[in-house]
Amino acid sequence: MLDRYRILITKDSAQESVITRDIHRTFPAHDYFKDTGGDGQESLYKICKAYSVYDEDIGYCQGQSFLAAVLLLHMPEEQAFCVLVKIMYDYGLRDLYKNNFEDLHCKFYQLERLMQEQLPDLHSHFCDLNLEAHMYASQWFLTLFTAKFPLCMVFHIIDLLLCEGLNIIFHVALALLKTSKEDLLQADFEGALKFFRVQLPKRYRAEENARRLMEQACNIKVPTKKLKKYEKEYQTMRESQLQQEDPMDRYKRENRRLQEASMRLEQENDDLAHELVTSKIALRNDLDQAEDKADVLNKELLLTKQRLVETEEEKRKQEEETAQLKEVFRKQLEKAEYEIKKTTAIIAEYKQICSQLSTRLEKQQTASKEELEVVKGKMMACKHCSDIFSKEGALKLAAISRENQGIEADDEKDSLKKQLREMELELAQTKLQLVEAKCKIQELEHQRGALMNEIQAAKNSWFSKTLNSIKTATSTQSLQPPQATQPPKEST
Amino acid sequence: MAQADSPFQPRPVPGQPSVSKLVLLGSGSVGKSSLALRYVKHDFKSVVPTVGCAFFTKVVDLGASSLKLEIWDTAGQEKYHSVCHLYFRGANAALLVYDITQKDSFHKAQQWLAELEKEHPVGEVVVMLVGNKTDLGEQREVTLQEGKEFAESKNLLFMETSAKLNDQVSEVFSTVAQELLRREKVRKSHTPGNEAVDLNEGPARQARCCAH
Repeated sequence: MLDRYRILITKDSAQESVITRDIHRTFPAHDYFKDTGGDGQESLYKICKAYSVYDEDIGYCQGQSFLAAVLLLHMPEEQAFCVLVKIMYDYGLRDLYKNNFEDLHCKFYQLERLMQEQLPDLHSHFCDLNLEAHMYASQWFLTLFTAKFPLCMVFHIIDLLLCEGLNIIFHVALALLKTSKEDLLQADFEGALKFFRVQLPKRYRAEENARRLMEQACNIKVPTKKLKKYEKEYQTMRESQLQQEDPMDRYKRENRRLQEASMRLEQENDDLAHELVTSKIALRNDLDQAEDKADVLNKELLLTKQRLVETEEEKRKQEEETAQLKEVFRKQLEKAEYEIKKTTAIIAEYKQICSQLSTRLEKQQTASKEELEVVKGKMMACKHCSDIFSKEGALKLAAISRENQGIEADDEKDSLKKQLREMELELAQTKLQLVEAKCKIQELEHQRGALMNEIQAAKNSWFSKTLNSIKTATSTQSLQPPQATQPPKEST
Repeated sequence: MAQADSPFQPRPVPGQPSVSKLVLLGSGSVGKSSLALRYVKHDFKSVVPTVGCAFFTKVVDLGASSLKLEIWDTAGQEKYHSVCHLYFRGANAALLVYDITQKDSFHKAQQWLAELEKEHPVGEVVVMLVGNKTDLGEQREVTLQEGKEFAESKNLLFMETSAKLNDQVSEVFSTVAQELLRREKVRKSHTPGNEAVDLNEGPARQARCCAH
């Protein structure tokens, strides 16, 4: 039931305006209910509205707000609602509202019969005045005495009701009549009604009076058997009334009732038809809108797909290009490496040759020195020759011999030197070539680096562009961005 | 009600002043009880929703003659309509009250007229259409003209009032009382010698519309 309540309070009620107007007039002097929009009024409004939705046939009844308010002063909102439903349905308060208040009139008859038995003088006085129970007891019964009487007394009455059932309304009504009998006996029609309206509720502001009234109410005997008997009497009376009625009138009334029902149903039918049409239109509109949206989304999807294909194509091309570039670089690199190797080998060869040559040169030099020594020694040993050698001609001779020897040696030396120079030249050239090759490699490497950067940049911009376009495309629909492959890593 | 039984009321006719029954009809919280309270008790306060009915009397002093009005104030909620029929019976006059700030209540008043006409032949009861709450003029949903036109089309008396500001309230009741007396005189002249007043038996006459 509590869950039901939570759903009920969210629903709209046709009686919202009536309820709102009554809420402001329900115990406006009480602290809890005095503030417009305060907690009390808010909860009260919710309970009454929920009830009007819950009970489709009866709905909210003016005066019900008082009962709801009394319950609300004792328990939380949800529980107050549940108790209200319990009192209306299980305790039978709801029956009083059914069938044009037929049950209520039966209760009035029962009350009058009980009066006749227990308060005969007051009953006959009221009969003389033509004062009927519905004139004073409507509010008592329909609101369970909650609307006019002081709260302390109302709380007692509701306690009693919850314990004993709906029949306590007779106990309380009889007790009220009994305690006011003297005043009422002296009053005329107008005075009696005024007494019920004004003095009677005032009297019970004194708690002592209220307590005594409740005691009296509990002591009054209202046998169920009698009530049953009176109920039957009332029904028989009603039936005979209907019988006595001119059949023409009865048919007229019946006809009117049926006409009203028919009109009501027609109205309902109209309303429903109207609702159907409006909801159909609304649905059609919704559908159209949804279709439009689907169209737009489909177009976008196609566009995105196309863009995806394009981007993939581009990506593929770029990858190819990269592969090609890589291949070119690799080839060039290989070539350069090969050249370097070759050059290094040549250099090593030359170096070896150079060192061989220099070793040979040194050897020959040593040999020629030795030879010279030998020649010198021989010359010194030879008297003939030593003079030349040792005197002024010595130099000459020496010079000649040296010349002779020198010519010999010089020839060899020259050829060696020449050879050496040639080799050195060759070495220098090779070195130069090496340097050139190195330069070329460096340059190529530099070029490659630049190209690499360029590719990287191109790839980055392309990649981010693609990514962005796909992102925007996928913002309206959940499309996975194309799997972005990392630009291939260069392997150097 | 002290005034009602006051011996100092001018009574041109010996004995009791003639008594007329007036019912207040209209949807919930349009101010039926407030009009009655203002007229009978010269008071205005928050009134509890009427469940069942309330009864008041007041003697209307019309100078040359007077009339005792028995005022039955009824519950406004549609649910209680069938109970109200108890008070229709034998009514001589009816006030169809609506709230000028609630269009819906104006339509309800028109429905009430239909209900009333089911029970009583047209013209048998003095009916006045009353637009209450003129103090809330800025929230007005029913124009003076609309009220007037509807009243004219149905031969009803018409006035706008404010129970809160006590504007035109006693005029409503005295106008109705005057109309009741006028009809009584017309009827008397048709059946001379008949002292008892029974408006219901009078020839059905159209009520004139009171220009507001």
